[in-house]
Amino acid sequence: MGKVEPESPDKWVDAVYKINKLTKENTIKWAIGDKNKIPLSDDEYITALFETKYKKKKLRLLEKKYKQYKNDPFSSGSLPFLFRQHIVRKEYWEDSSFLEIIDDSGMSLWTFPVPTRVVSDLIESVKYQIASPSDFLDDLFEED
Amino acid sequence: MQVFPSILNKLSVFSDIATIIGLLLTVYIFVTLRNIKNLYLFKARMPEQLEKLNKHISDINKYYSDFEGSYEIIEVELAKSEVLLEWFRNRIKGVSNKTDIKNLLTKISNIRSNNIKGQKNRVWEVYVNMSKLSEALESYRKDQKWER
Repeated sequence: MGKVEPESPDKWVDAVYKINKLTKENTIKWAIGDKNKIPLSDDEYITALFETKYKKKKLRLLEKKYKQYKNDPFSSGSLPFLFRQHIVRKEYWEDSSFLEIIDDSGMSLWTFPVPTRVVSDLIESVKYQIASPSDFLDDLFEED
Repeated sequence: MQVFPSILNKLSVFSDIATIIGLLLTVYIFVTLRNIKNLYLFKARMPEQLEKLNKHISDINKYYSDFEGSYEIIEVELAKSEVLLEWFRNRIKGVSNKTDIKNLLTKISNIRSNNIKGQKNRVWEVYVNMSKLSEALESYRKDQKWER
C-alpha cells in the first residue's frame, strides 16, 4: 500500500486562488444566495452570500459580521473586587469569510481551511463579476 | 621591602585585565541594547507595514478583475508593494523568508521593466506569491511576540 501523505495546507489555499482566477475569467459564474436559509444568532448578520456549481459541487461564499466583546482598559485586575461587577464591556464587530461545499438543501458539508483574507479577495472578485461595473461604464458612455 | 613593588605590579596587571574585560562588556551591552532597540522598533512597526502590504495585495486582486482598464493602477500598486517588501527584507530574520522576498522582488522588477499590459499571467503569479508571503509574515509576527 502506498504511503498516505497529509494534505498540505497550501493545497487548499491554491484551490481558492484557482477558483478566484476562474471567477475573474468568468469560467465560474456566481449568483446571489438566499440569506434566509442561513441560521444566525442575534449577534451576527450576513454581509455577502454567493453560490455556484462547479465540477458537480455546490459552493457557497459567506461573509458575515459577528459581535465580539472586550473589557475596557481600566477594568479587570487593576480594579478592586467590588468594582469589577461594573466593568464596561465594549462591543465591536468582527468580519469572517468562508468558502464552503454545500449539499442541495444548503447545509454546509466542508469549509475550506484557508485564511479569511484569501476568501475576502475571492468575494471581491465575485462582487465585481455580479455587479460588472465596467459593463455599466461602457453602457453609460455609449449613450454620448 | 621588595614585596610591596611586586604587589603593585600584580595589581597593575590585574587592573589592565579588568579594563579590557570592562571594555568588552561595554561593547557587548552596546550591541545587545542596539539589537533590543531594533527588535522593538520592528515589532512596533510590523503590524502597520503588514496591514499596508495586505491592502496593496487586495487592491491588485480588485483591479485585476478589469486588467485591461486598470493595468496602470496595478503597476502603481506593485511599485508600492516593492517598497514595503524591501522594508521587510532588510529587517526580517531567516534565510527562507529573505529568499522568498528576494524572489518576489525580482519578479516584480521584471514585470515593471517591461510593458505590464502583456503580462497578465505574471501579475497573477505575483499576486498569489505575495498573498502567501503575507501569511508567512503574519506567522512571523506572531512568533516575534514571544521573542524578548
